[in-house]
Amino acid sequence: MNPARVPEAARLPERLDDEELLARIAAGEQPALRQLIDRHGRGLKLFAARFLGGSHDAEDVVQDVFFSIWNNAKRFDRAKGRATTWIYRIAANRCIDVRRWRRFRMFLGFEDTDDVFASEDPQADVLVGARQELAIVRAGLDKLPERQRMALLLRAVADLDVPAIAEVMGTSAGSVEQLLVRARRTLRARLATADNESQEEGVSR
Amino acid sequence: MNRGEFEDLKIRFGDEVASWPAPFRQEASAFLVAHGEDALGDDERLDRLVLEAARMPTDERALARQVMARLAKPRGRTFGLTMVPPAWSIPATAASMAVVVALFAAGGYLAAGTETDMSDEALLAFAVGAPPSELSGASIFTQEEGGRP
Repeated sequence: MNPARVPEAARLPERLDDEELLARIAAGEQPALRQLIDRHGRGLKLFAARFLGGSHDAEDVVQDVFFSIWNNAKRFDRAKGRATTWIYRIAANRCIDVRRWRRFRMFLGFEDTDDVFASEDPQADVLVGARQELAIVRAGLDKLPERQRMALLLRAVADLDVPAIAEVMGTSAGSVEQLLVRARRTLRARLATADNESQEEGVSR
Repeated sequence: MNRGEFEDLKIRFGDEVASWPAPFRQEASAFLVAHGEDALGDDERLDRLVLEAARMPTDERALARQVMARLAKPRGRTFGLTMVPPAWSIPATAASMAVVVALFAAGGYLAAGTETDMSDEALLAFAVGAPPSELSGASIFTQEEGGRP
């Protein structure tokens, strides 16, 4: 992130909320789409990159999401839910499509298992490498079951509440709570194990 | 996030941090926590770690440029297919292919079955190893003559 650089969209005369921006996008206003990208581009990229395990596919997914928003903004009904939920639902569905497509290609032998599930973002690894705790969380996230990972990322990155996550994932709020509890428990267990190991190493020295 | 970045984001999204989009909102909140202006529970602390672990450089301007360039082009399809087809199309395609293969197999079986019907005697002679010269004497019956349909 480089917050010091203020994008063009931020210099628009008005600061609109997401619902208003979608209404303007539906009317064909490209500056509104720019402003929406400015607001949600980063969140969607982090969500997709962490869910898919790499930034390359994430960039395509995020572009697809905004392209889809441009084409389907008229379908958004603010009476049915928040704009953020609608946007992340598109992103989540696209991420699921990409993973299924990868699995299908893997089944056909076009893609290697190691390529599919390996983290392909060394730059991010360097950023995280500074803190062992973050590296553990990152590795733990990659190993979580898909639905648990999605629920946790929607909570932590997209800052959605439980009902909104349930809407994005097309499930019940109770189910989302269980997914979050399990995901957090797994990550805490990994952090605790790493902590114990480092303490034991310290004692043995 | 440092104080300068926080102030820049205030210019970009307004003074009210609660109305900022994610993940800027949480990052600003983490900044405020670090400065003792807020307190976190266990789950929130872990969620913050998850957000930090997910963090990577992003460029919203480049993204906007790419999206706008894509909007300016006609729909990006190759031979009528998108590069990553939606998930529902995979089982639909597989089922269609299976139906086509089954139809061709049934058609082939029917076509071959009516035209090359070998009599039971000829098959029996072939099975016991009779020479081809003797086999040639064995008649290949048509269906009207008692051969298999």
